[in-house]
Amino acid sequence: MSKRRWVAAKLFAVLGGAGLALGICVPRATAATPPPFSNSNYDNRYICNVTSDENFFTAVIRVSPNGSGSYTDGTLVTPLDSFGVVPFNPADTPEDNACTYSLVGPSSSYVVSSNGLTVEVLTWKAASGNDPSCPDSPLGTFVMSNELVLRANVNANGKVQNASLSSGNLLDQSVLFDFLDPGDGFCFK
Amino acid sequence: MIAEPRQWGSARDRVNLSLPGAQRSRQISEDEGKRMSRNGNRISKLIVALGVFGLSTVVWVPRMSAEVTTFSVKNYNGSYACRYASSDDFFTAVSQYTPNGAGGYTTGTLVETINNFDGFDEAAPASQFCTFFLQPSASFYSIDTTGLGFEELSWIPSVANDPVLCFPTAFFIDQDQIALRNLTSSNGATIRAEVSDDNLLGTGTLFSTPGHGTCVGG
Repeated sequence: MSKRRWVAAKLFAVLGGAGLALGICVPRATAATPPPFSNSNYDNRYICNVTSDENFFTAVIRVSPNGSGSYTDGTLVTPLDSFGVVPFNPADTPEDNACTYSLVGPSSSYVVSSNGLTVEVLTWKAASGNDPSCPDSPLGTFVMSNELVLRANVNANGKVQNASLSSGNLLDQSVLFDFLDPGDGFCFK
Repeated sequence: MIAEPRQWGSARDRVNLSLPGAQRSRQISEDEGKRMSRNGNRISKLIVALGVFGLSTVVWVPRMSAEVTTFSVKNYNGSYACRYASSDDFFTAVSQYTPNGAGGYTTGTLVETINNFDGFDEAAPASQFCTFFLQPSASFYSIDTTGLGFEELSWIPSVANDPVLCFPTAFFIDQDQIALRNLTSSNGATIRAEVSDDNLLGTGTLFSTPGHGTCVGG
């Protein structure tokens, strides 16, 4: 009986030890990594929430940096309501009440500095279905330059989890209307 | 369970010195064996305790969830708390709603400050807000494979709203562009969505007031 109990205790101890080892070794969701950063830390997929002109212009963005200074693809969507010419029409679909842009990969790039400051140039092409009151629509392009700062909060693969950004020419308003208000926002992996 | 009486001193101290040499050696050996067994038990108990702690960390400490490669409406599911602000942060509101993972909603409530439309007074807090309820049957959302989507939310005012100061006084439709974060809970639902808003609080039909906000799940 005592021997059986001893064997059971040993078995439990082995299982417990394995549990402890797993508890220690399995990677956690995030880890703080100090600089230096490189292009490889800005990789995969990010969503961003950006605004400008006292939050009058707003947009959500998805971009897919490839970890080596360029992008796989991306989409920018903004409310049509921002552009004033067409008042909001609740009878239209949500898609019709938005302006959509797709990233032009070959004309877009980014460079991450070792301190995490990142310059990105994003070229956006207006969707063919956009309402003509959407900037550069239909099928025109505009260039948006962002300065990002990457946060030293990376996942197990070394990818940055979030970043703050300052945007020049958000939605082409700086060029089209010579607005001085730059945009700002944040991005999450 | 009765605790074993604690024994003090080494096995050698408890040996009956009147015993002949061979018996005395045997007793010492038996006593040392028992002591080692007790020590072994203590060590195994310690390892078991550490092991249980280790297993509990595996079970309870949040893990990095698997990344979503192809998004769908299933990834927007559960209870989300949202905050919204319009141009210049003039209009503000919070909401709680429950996308059902299938393109519809179960419930939803939106609360805006009456201060959006009138000067603040020091009346009871409940009278300082306007409340709206989601009409699930007239609300829907879509999410594409990249995690971007649209939603249409139909809100009806609470009958308790101030009839003069709360706006709008009838139902209104709010349309949002959504981007889902690729960090999900165990059921695959995103923990956070970023939102750009057409017709925030029904003001878009009067003048352009796009809004923006964030919805956090969990």
